[in-house]
Amino acid sequence: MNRRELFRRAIAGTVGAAAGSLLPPGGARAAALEPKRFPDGYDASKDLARPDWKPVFLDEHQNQTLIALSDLIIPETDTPGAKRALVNRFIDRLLEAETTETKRSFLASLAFVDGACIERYRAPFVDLPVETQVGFLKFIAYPHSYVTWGDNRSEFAGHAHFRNLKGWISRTYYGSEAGQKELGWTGNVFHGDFEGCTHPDKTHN
Amino acid sequence: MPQDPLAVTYDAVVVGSGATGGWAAKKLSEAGLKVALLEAGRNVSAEEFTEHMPAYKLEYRNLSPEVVRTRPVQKMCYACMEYNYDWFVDDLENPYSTPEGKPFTWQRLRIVGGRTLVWGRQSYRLSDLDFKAASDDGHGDDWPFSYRDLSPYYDLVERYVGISGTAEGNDALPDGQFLPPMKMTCGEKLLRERVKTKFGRTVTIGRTAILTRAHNGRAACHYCGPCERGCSTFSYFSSPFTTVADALRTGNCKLMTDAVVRHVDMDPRTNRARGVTCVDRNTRRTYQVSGRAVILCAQALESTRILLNSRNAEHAAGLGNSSGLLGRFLMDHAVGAGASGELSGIDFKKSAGDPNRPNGIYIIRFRNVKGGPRSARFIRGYGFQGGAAPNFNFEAEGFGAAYKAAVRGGVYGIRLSGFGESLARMDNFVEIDPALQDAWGIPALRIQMTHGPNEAAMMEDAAVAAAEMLEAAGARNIVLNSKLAMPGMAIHEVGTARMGSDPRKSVLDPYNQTHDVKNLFVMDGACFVSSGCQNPTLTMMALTARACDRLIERFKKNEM
Repeated sequence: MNRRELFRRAIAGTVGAAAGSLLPPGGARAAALEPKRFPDGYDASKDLARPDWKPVFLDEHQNQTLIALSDLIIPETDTPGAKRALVNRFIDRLLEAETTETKRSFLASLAFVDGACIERYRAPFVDLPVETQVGFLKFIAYPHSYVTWGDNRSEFAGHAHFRNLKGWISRTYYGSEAGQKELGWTGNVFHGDFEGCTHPDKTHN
Repeated sequence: MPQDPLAVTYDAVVVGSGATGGWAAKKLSEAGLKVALLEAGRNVSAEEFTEHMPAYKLEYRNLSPEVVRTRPVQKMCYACMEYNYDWFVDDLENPYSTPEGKPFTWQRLRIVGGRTLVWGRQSYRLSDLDFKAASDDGHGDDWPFSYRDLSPYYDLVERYVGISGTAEGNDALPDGQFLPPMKMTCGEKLLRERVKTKFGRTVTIGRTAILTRAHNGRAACHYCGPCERGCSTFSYFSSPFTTVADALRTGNCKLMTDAVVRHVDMDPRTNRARGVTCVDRNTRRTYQVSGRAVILCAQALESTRILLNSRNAEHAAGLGNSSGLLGRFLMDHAVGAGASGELSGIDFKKSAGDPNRPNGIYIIRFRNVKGGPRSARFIRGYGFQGGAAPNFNFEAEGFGAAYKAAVRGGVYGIRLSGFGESLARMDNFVEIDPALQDAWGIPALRIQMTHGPNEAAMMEDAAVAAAEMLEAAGARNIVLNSKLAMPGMAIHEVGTARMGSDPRKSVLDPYNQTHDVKNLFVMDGACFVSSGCQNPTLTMMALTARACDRLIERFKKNEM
């Protein structure tokens, strides 16, 4: 998150609490501080690829639903895609450590998908044929407008849940090694220079 | 047998090892004075830098909930992250309070180097437009010196630190001793040309404390990007690897870490400071460090907290507070307003493997400047920081292969964020909260600050000005933000022990000595009389160098 985004959030009131109100009434506690070091070769992503991996937060059905969703939202193309990048496993790890509010928000979106599918197709999302899954996602992937029928509703709950789930999947995928490589990351961190604009003045287009 | 460092009476006890403490330690120890440099946190090593470590290797890919849990205030700063959050204070150990409805975010690091490890590195001089602003518009007070007095110290600091930038010949933002500038992107050059043509305003590359060529034994920037996680080549300026290292190299400076200063010790017979009382951060043992001069460089609010906590029978309202102004005139730049948009027609291909320039652009103040039109709604002015560059389009609609392609296709974004002067006001202040202590039993601060109608009008103007400049550059999908962020968000807090020639109207004299105690100094941002709209660290370092030169003279004359 950049500073501008923090400003935006601060203005929206989401990070605006005074420090005093965040602290226990009995005052502060102290904890020993040690330098936090990452040993050579440290790579916490390797643990996600363990053959005996099991979800620690999601149940098996939720995990399978998440895998199916992530595979459709960021599929394997010329690059690996979210399923192969084990996006579900990282999300499970992060959710396990997250706040109750964040956990609830994620599970509510996952539950919406299943609830809406059961209502429409009499089956949970993961049990639907792929064509039906894709059709359902198209229904919730875009904002809905009712303006032409004189209705002022501007927010469609399904789209908000889709954006929530897509945000988790997209952030996780593009933050993974596979996602980073797809975006061009090579591991080279020593660049000779930043070239900047090389056009003659007034010819940047 | 080595001498017990606690049994020594040092020439100077310097509290804080950041931008100003590093300079004080360097200047004084290089002059042959014996210096104790006290730091409340631990030492830092380049081995713990993580600027080259990709996020996917972290347990939570830089999204760790632990950061938010233990550092809910610190996390408001973009630089506090899973990589480095242990550099920032634990908010649960380091509380402060604010009145209901008046939030203030206070960003703090306790580690050798302090905030220089993570600072934004933007380095701008103030001018007489700032130092003499009160004479111009009647608000507040002038500084007790002019730009000409500080200019040689700006030169000194810039030559040592290494500031890259472009000379523009604009009186509102004096030029300095620059290394070659970093280069602008196409979008930024386009903006510079259009804004100059249409408005006569100057868009320049950010003046930054990052080397563009080898300098003073440090290598040029290699454009990896995330300086706030450390710099293995020391290309950005941070005190542990420059000023503090120089001080230690003299053999005259003793660095004491984990030394949480509780108060300044006074000799009531002579009304002179004897040293400081510290609490060991780990053992809680209390001990004293003695010195002929005490120099507070703990960061503006921390230094003032130490003075307020040093009250005694002779100084009942806090040390150095005979004026009653200690703690008053807290300032932090008005931020939050600006505009963003997208540029079309520029060929680009975004890649995560590209060089990552850790710098942006700066638009020099153009409101209420000499010879320019006056605003009817506000006094003083603002500058802009921002940039134009390709970004990945993570916000693209839809899903599937088309979404992946859209992400990679990217958008050419452009943004401008205003940084406005925060007026010095009596009713923005810090005091000791009688009911709150930190984890070491030291009374904590109560911080009371709001931005006023001047800052609000200024930020509204900044938002409109940003939008009109983006329009001139041909941007589309412009989004404007005109609201003020909460005080503290600029992380440019200054004031609370301001300097001046009149002891009735100021806490410090023009050379950062407290009016009330002749061997007690505050050489950090607490001394600011007004905030200007420029990032303050360069000025703080120049002021420290100037004050130290005066102090060295006094030592030479046996006045200490």
